[in-house]
Amino acid sequence: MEKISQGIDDLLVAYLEGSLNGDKLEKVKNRLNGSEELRHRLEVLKLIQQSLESNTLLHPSDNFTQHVMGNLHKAPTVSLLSPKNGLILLTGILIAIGIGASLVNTGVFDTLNGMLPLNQIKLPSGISTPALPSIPLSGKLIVNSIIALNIGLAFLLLDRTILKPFFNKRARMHV
Amino acid sequence: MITVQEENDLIDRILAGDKQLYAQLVDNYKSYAFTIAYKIMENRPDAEEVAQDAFIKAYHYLKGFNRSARFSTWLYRIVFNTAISHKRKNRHVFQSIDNTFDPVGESNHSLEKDDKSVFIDQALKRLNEADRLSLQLFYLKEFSLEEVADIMGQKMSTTKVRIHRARQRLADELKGILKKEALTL
Repeated sequence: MEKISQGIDDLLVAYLEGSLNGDKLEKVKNRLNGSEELRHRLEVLKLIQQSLESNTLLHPSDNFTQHVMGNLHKAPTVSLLSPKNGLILLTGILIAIGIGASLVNTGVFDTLNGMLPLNQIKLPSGISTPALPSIPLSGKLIVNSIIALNIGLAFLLLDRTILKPFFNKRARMHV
Repeated sequence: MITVQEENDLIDRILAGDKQLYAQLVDNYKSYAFTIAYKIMENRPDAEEVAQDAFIKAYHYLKGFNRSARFSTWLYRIVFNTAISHKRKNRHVFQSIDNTFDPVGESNHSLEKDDKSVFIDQALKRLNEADRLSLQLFYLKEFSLEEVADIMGQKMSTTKVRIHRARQRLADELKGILKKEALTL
């Protein structure tokens, strides 16, 4: 079958729907009489139309409205991460935790100790402050804190983007 | 079926605090909302969840509905976007669950349909998703070409091209089956 232009296609669809009249209708009829290819195309379009139109309206479950009304108070669910992206991010976090933990284990951060002297911070003139203390800094402690934070974040990600959607979906499939 | 004016009055009363009236809007549009969701999700549990989410979203954003379009068109666009983002999110990780046999959905097909319809269904599945949805929404009959474009958030010219392209592909696929039939007559 040769490719038929969109204009002719639209005319044939309008003809099938009975929305043509007057000159246009006559024109289409004449063209159909003179072309076997167009008649074949009309037959195919008719078949497509009948088949697609017979896909009737579907109806949701009986308690659909009830369910919607019962959940109106809930804020619409907005999830920024798909399970796939959540999984990628989770893998990244776990790798970072692994690297951090192994570095801590080898003692790389043991030597990064010192004091942060707050009284050496230059403040704008005119601001008088009492003597500021010095804060002890430990590289190991900082990295451990970051690792702990990452572990918390990893659990949160696992729950929100993977486990919750998975179990919700499984529950729905068994309704 | 309620008129546009009655619908706007209903929306005003809902916005004024009569929340229970929203059930009327849900009842009016739930079947089309569910059908659109089903065309995209291709299984009933997901379609039901998407349609419900969309109605809840529409309720929360009702203040922002500017009434330049029909409420139904605005709602169906929310259904469409909710379904697309839901499908995108779940496409990869839960693919095995998505492919599970859906007894309720399937019952609408196979037994009652003749061979041609089954063949068209298969051919539809091979179409590009946007083309397929444009064509299916257009033939739902509730929507004009302009509304299909609005719901899918695309230009009318794009929708026209998509529908034409989808018809063309279906026609190409049907060519074989019709020829075969002609030979057997």
